[in-house]
Amino acid sequence: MPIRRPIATLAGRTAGALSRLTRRGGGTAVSGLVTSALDPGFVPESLRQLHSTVTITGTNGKTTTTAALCALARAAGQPVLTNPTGSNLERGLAAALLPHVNWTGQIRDAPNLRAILELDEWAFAALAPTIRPRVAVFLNLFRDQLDRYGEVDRTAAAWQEAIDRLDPDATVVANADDPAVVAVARNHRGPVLFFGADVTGSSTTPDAWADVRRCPLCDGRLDWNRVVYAHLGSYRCLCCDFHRPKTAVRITDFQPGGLTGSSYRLITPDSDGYIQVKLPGLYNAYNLAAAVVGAQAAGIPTANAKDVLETFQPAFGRAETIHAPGTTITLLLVKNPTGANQTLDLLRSEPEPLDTLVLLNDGVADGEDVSWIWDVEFERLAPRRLQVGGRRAEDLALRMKYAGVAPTVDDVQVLPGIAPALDAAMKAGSTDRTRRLIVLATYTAMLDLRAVCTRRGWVAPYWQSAA
Amino acid sequence: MTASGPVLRIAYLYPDLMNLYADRGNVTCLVQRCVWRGITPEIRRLEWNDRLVEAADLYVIGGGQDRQQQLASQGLTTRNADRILSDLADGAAMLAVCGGYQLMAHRYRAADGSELPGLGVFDAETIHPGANVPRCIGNVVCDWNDSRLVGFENHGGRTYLGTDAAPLARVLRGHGNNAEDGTEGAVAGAAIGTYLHGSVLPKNPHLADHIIRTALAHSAPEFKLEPLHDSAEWAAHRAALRVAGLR
Ligand SMILES: [Zn+2]
Repeated sequence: MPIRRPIATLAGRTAGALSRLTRRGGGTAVSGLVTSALDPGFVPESLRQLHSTVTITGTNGKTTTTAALCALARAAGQPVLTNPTGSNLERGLAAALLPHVNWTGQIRDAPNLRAILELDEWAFAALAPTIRPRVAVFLNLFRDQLDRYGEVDRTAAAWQEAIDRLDPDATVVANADDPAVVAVARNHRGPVLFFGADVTGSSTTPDAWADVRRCPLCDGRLDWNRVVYAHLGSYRCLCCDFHRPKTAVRITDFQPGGLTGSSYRLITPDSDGYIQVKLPGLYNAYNLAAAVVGAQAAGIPTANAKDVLETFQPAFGRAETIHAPGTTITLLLVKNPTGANQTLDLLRSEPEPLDTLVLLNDGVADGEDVSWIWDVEFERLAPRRLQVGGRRAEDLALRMKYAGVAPTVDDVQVLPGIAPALDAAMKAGSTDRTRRLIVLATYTAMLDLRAVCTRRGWVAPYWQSAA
Repeated sequence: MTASGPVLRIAYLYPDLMNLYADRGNVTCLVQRCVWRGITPEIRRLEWNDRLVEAADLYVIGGGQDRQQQLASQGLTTRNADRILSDLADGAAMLAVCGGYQLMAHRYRAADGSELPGLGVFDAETIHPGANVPRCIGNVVCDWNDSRLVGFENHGGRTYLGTDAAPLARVLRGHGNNAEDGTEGAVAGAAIGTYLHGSVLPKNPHLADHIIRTALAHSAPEFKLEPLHDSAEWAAHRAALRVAGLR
C-alpha cells in the first residue's frame, strides 16, 4: 500500500462531507476526485481485492442497466458495490469505493463483494486494462456530445484497444443489433455473449441521422432486413461475411405501454416467458436484456429474474414520476438524438397530446454544442401545449419552429431559467382536470429541475433516491 | 402559401456519409425558407455510388468522419466532378460545411500523412497537424459583410487559403480556418465553404437567404425574396453571441 493512501482516503471523505454540509451536492464526485487525484492506484487496487468487477458502458442506458444488474445480484443475496448516481468517470468509482475502504486501504468482506459499475465510454477505454473486469457489457454506440468525445469511429477504436487487453477468460456481453458494437466485441479472445431484439421494425433503412450506414469492417453496403431504431436491427454486409451474430438472450413480442411500462417475451438459455415491466420503450428492453446476460455471465443466479425485473423502478430522471401539487410530472432525460427520438416515440404512443416542457442546457455534461437538436425529429412531437427553457431555450424554440411543432410557434414562450419555465408550464396546465406535465431535459437541466422540485419538497435529492 | 414561385433544384451530397453535427438542419432550413415564399425545393439526395446527371441550382454537403470522408472524396472526384464544376461555373450556389468544405478545396492531408483529393472549388488546402494537437472546438462569432455569423466549430484540420481564395468571414471569437490568420471559410463565385455548424443556417437567416438568392440568380433571376418573420431566428442568433461572450 502506498503511504499516501490513508491521506488520500481521509482527504476524499473530508471533501465529500464538506460538499454535503454546504449542500453543493451529494458529495459523490468531489470525494472521489480528491482521492483519485492524490492516489491514482486507489481505484484499480481497491477493485482487485473484490470478488469480481462487472462494467457497463455504451452511449445510452448505462444507469438503468447497472441498476437492474445490481437488483438481480441483490435479489440473489449477493452483496454489491456500485456507482448509482450516474457518476461514471474514475472519480465516481473512487467515490463509490471510499465508504468501503478502511484506513489501511482494505475493503471489508472483499472476497464476497462484487463491483457492478457504470463507465463512461472513454473512462471504460482508459480504465478497463487496470481494473480488469470479469464481465464487460457494451450496450450501443451512438453520436453523443461530439464536442467532447469526437467522432463515433474514435470511440469504437478506443473500445477495440481496451477489448484487446481484456483477460482472455473475461466475458464480453454485447448488443447483437448494433453493428458498431459487434464489430469490436467479436474480436475478444474469450467468450462473447450477444443480446438482441427480434421485433419487426417499421423500416428496413436506418434513420437519416444514424451513425452506422455501411459495414464497419469493409465499408461495403449493409443490408438490413429490419431496423428496430437508429442503426439497431438485423443486418448483413453485401461485400464481406459481417452479419448480426446469434443471440444468447433475446426479446420478442414487444408490446409498448406508453410512458408507464411495456411487456415482452424474454428468452434466455434457461428461461422463456413474458414479463411486464415498469420501464417504457424498446430501448429499456435492450437494457434489461443486457442486465440478464450480464448477470448470467457473472455467475449471478437469474432464476427469479422475472420477479426482480417486474418490480424494478426506473432510475432517477429516466421516466421518473414527480408528484407536485396538482400536477404529475414525468421527467425524461434526453441527451443525444437516438435517446431523444426514442423518447418522442414514447410520447407519440400516449393516447392523447400532452403538455410538454423541453429544457436544453449547454454545460460540459450536456455537450456545449447544441447542434444535435437538429438531428432530433421534433417533427414527431405533437404536444398539447409546449414550453421551452434552459440556457439554450432560444435554440430549442427555433428548432420547434422549423419542425412545425407548435401550431402557433409564436406562442412558445422562451424562458431560459429552469424554475420560471417549469412554473409557466405548470400554470398553463393548471386549469385542466388531467394535470400531467411531460418534461424532456438534458443532463444538467434535469439535475436543475430536480433541485427545484427538491427545494419545494416534491422529491428527494438524487443521491438519496438513487441509493 | 401557394407554390407559384420557381423551382429550386438542391443536390444534397452524400447525406449517408456526411451527416455529422446535424448538418441536415441546413437542408431543413433551406427547404422551409423556400416553401414559406412559394419556392418549390426539389431535393436530390446523392448516395455514394450515384452519378449526378441533371444540373442543380444549389449544392449542399456537410461534415463526416475520416473514413466516410474518404468515400465521399472518391465519389466526388471519380463520378461527379464534371457535373458539379460545370454547374458552379454556370453560377450554381454551394454550401459546404466542415468536412464537406475540406473536400471542396484542393486536398486534405490527414493526421497520418495520407492525402485525400478534393474538387478544387476553393483555392485552399487543409492539413491535419496530428492527433496530439488539440482540435478547434467551440463557439464561433465572425464578421461577415456588415453583419455577423454565429456557430460552433469542431475540426482537427487547419485550412489555409491560397492567393485566389477569398475568406468568407473574419473571426471575432473562435478559431476559424486555422486559428492563425483570423479567416473563416471561403468564397468562390456563388460557392461558400465554412467550418460553422450549429446548424449554421437556421440561426444565420441572412446567410440562408443569401444562399437562396444566389441559387435563384442562377435559375430564376427575376424572382424577389420576400422578407420573413425571423424573430425566433435572431433570438437564437443573439443567444449564440451571448454564449460566445459578446453582448
Ligand atoms: Zn463488410
